Amino acid sequence: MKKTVIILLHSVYWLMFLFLLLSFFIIAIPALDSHHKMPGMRLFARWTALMTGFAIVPGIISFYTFYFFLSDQFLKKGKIGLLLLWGLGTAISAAAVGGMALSFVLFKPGFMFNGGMESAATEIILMTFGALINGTIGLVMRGFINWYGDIELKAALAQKNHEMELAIVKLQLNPHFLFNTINNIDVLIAKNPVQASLYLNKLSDIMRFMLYETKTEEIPLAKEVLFIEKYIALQRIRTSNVKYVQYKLTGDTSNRSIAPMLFIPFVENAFKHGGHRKIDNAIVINLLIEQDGYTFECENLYTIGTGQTLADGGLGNELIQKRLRLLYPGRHILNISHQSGLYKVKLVIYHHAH
Amino acid sequence: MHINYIIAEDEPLAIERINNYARKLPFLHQLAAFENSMEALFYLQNNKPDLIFLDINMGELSGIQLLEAARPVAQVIITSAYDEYALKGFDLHVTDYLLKPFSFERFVQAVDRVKTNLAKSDTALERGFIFIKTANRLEKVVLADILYIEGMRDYRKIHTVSKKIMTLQTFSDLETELPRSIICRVHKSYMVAVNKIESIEKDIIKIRDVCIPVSETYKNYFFQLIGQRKK
Repeated sequence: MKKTVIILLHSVYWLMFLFLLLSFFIIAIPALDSHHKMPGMRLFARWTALMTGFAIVPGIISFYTFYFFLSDQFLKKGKIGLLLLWGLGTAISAAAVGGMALSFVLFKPGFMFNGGMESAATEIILMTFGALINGTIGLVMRGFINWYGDIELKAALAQKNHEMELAIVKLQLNPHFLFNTINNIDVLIAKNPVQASLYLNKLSDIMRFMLYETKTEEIPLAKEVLFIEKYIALQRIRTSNVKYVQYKLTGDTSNRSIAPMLFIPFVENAFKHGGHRKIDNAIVINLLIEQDGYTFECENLYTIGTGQTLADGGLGNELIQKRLRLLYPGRHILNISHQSGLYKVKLVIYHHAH
Repeated sequence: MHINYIIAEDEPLAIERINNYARKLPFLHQLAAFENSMEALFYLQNNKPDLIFLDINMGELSGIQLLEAARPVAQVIITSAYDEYALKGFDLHVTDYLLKPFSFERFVQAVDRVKTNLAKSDTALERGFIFIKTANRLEKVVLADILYIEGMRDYRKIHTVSKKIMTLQTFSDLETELPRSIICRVHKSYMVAVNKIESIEKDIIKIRDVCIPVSETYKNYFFQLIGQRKK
């Protein structure tokens, strides 16, 4: 919620409170001045002083103690017993402060006891009760503002997740890759049925991965790696140059996990811009798995001037960065550079914050 | 009738597919296949195939560039895995558009269109005239009378020695109907009758005191046609 709205909320509440006290004043005139001797202004001043000590001072103390302190300390943590205890204590203290203000600042000392001990006790109880109501309202207002803030935060998070999913869905349907691969497999069916079947299985694995695995928060690292390997295999049948791609995996993937589609967008992007397929080592991909994290490197040659830019990822590098910040806050390093025909990505993921 | 074709396609299996299909049609003859669009571009400067199978999304060099060089020379069949340009609403003015994977039947259909188009200009050449659709009738136009054709927004204005004819037929339409060796496209908005040219100076053609520009796209093909090499 905006600060101005919150301030407005408070102002409205206190104005209403003053308005309520004022209406009491109008009702109470006959009782205050049974002899009709006091001038109106003096009467009002006396009432104001009385109400300041009786209601306003304890009210404000209680309201903001509840609002700033008790809400966060007890209500948020679900400590209801402590909340009640502290709430009552706060209200009594607020009433006592109000009583002291009446006795020593606003009126003559001993003012509270003009009507005897019994009357004083009644007044204190009434003041405590008033302070308690103010405090409760403070608590409710704080609760409402928090709740509203949560809703906004959730909406923002949902929006981000939605963007992410959409981007992944878009990626699933990279039509150039999909239909070219289908075409290649179609030709292979007549030429080499065994091989065709092999590639078709790889393609179906890739599609299954994109349809289902990307829905979960974390997947086994082995699955992501397998995807990359199958994807590269399918890309390889698109060219007669066997040295087109160089791929190396170092380390053990077993019992390791990762968020899905973290490396794949960079791999896709490399193939999208990877220069001509006749060139050896046009794409170099390295994945290093270590005890405390992963290092992923992906390089590709591109034709200068055709503009493989930083914003040009399959997923959109900006979105990838957002996603990394969300998934691995303070636990990743992403370096992307492109110069003189070489596009380089280096992504390091740590298991623990450094 | 023989149709000589080349393939510009960066995926070896996709080239194989076209050749497999083409082998079943004895009138088709492969001249060359290119996995690199630059090589194809270079080839087109010195050779005149009848037909080009072109993968518009090949490699880094845009297929569009190759297409522009190919269109004045030959019939073009686009082969593509993904109809990106159709989605964007571009009309590429090609003979046909094959979406991969395509069947043999679909391939034959595309080649038939090429055959019809090639036959059209052959017939026109034999007969010496064509019929042009005007607003309310078909007008006979003798090929030898044509001076040049000018594009004016929706209309094409055919200037002949004796008359001017307005038609709604498009340039790509006229290009298929008219024999390329006689009436040649030189600009987005111009075709000229080669034997009516009086002079050429700095890419400006003069026909009966009318100046017609030769644009970059058609330059290579045009100067090749009139037997003049130009850098």
